[in-house]
Amino acid sequence: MTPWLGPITVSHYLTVGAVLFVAGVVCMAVKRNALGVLMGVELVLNGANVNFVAFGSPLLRSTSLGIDGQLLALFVIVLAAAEAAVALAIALNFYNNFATIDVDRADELKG
Amino acid sequence: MSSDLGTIGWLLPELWLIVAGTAIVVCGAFCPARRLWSAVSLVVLAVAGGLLCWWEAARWLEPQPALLSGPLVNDPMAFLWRHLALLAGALFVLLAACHTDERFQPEIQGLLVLVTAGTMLAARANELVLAFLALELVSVPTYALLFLGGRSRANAEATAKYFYLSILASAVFLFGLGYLYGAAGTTWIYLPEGHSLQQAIPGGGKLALVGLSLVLVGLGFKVAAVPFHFYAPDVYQGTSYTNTALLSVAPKLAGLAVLVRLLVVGFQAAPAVVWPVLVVLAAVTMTLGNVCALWQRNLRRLMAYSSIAHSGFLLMGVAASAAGLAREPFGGVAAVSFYLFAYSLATIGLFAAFAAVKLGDTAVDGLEHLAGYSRRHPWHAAAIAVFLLSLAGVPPLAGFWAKLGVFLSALSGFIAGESAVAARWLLGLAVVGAVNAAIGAAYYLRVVAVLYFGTPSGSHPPAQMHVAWPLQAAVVFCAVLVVGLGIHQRPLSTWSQRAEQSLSMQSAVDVPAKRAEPHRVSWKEPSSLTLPRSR
Repeated sequence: MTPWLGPITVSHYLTVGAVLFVAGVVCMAVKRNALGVLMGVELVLNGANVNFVAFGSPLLRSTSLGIDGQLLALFVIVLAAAEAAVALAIALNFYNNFATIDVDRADELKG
Repeated sequence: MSSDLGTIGWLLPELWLIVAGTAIVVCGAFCPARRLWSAVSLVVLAVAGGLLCWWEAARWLEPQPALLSGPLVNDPMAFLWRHLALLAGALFVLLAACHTDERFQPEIQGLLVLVTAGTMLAARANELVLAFLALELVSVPTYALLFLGGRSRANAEATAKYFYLSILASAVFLFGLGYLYGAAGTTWIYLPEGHSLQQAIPGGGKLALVGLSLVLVGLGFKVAAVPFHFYAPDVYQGTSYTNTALLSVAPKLAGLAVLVRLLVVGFQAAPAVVWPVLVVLAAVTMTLGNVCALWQRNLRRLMAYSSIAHSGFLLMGVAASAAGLAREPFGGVAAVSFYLFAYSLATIGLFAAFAAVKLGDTAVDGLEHLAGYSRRHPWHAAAIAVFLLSLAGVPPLAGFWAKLGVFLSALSGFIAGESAVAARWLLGLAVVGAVNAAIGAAYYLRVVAVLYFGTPSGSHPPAQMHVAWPLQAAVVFCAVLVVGLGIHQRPLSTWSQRAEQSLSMQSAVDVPAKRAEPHRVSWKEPSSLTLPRSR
């Protein structure tokens, strides 16, 4: 049975999660803008969230895992919000010092 | 497992720290007496230590199986490492009290209390979710601490660098955690009976391995292991001595605690996968850290590479434990616990001592600024020398016994005549470690030589000691403990042995019985996996 015709399984969700993960890491690696990098992080976190919800879903697997996965996803959403708040403060501080938020402009520290 | 009221009792110190830390940050906005807050946080930490001893101390006088309550595991290891976290927290508070911008004093002190709470939680997390949240409770306040009070370009760059790399490491850790959860169907690391990672992982297959490697990436960043170390020198250089002390101890303590729980207890059924990774990580980390430190002229960069090298030694103890070869009385976890005490005290003391050396009104920065410092301030220079010698592992200081313990744990399998491959690899690791101890001694002793025999150049004003009692108190306290632990190491090593014993009780779960019928994730059976078509 080809993956296109069969029922939707956890594997499909895992694929979405893995694509989000890779997209996020690539985004962090190539973006110069501090907020763009932050978006990459959010993609990785949400890729993980897709996995958690898919693994935890009672609709997708025979043995129930309780609601651990869903709870974990909620924790991650809250955490992502907290990190975004700190990120904005850091980006503002960076802008005050460098008059840009392109993170590759910073080259004070090396050696 | 349901959580009963007893869980609150076990959680009391952490709950108290979180409530008090939040209260300090909030009340700080209304109280003009900024200096007050360092005293308040010291009292808060002391009360937490009191609560910890009052609730638990009597239970750990004899080795006994770990008590589980909710997602917490309560054992001598948790008890010991939480004490270390509290001790380090109190020292951070002393450092921050006189080194940072006075305007941000309540915020800084409150965040330091929160970091301490996070480190304490990480030391006893028996569940991956709690471990993740505890690591984040260490990380997020650390970002804010790096950012607060710094106005220079270097500080902004260091903060941004640490933030983005740390957050990426956390996200990768979380992603790996998701795979482990999916492969095992549980997030428990250890349960005496029932379904935990211990029994579940052997059946998990490739998904579990991918998950484990991603989790190792995240933890490797926290402990600054090569190849996730490259942030450390830049970030250390761009921030204050208070923050370097924090960065070199708190994340390392929390990360190692999770690493030990996960690898020694959770994955003890799959040691063949775990220990080779750890052996390679440890060897590369200590070698690269020590070799790069050789040509550093900046004190903070030097200490950054030194902290990377010490991570390598710590990982050596974890590797010995994970291979299951470390024999009593040379247990890997016991060695790591002792090493962490010796390392943390010497490092924090050294940073406190450096923070008290001023060049005009800026903190001392380059190695050459210390030239001939002993002639002006002999006692202060002696304290710096004691910390450096302890880090180098010179007997009879605490660092010597720590290094000895780690080496013995790596060698004990070989000494016991074990012919397993792991024993030979660990022997090789111990040889690499011995070479590294010699390289490390070279650059620590170079700093001592500059302190005592260097001639100051006329290009900068002579370094002077900045008299501030919290800094001096931290230096004296650390120096006394470093020397004291070296001369009289029995109490701490006894406690470390207990930590080891309790962990080996946890990893002695009867796995083979379960292995015959491994828990299989059943997401390959299409019949049970279909989404309902019609709604």
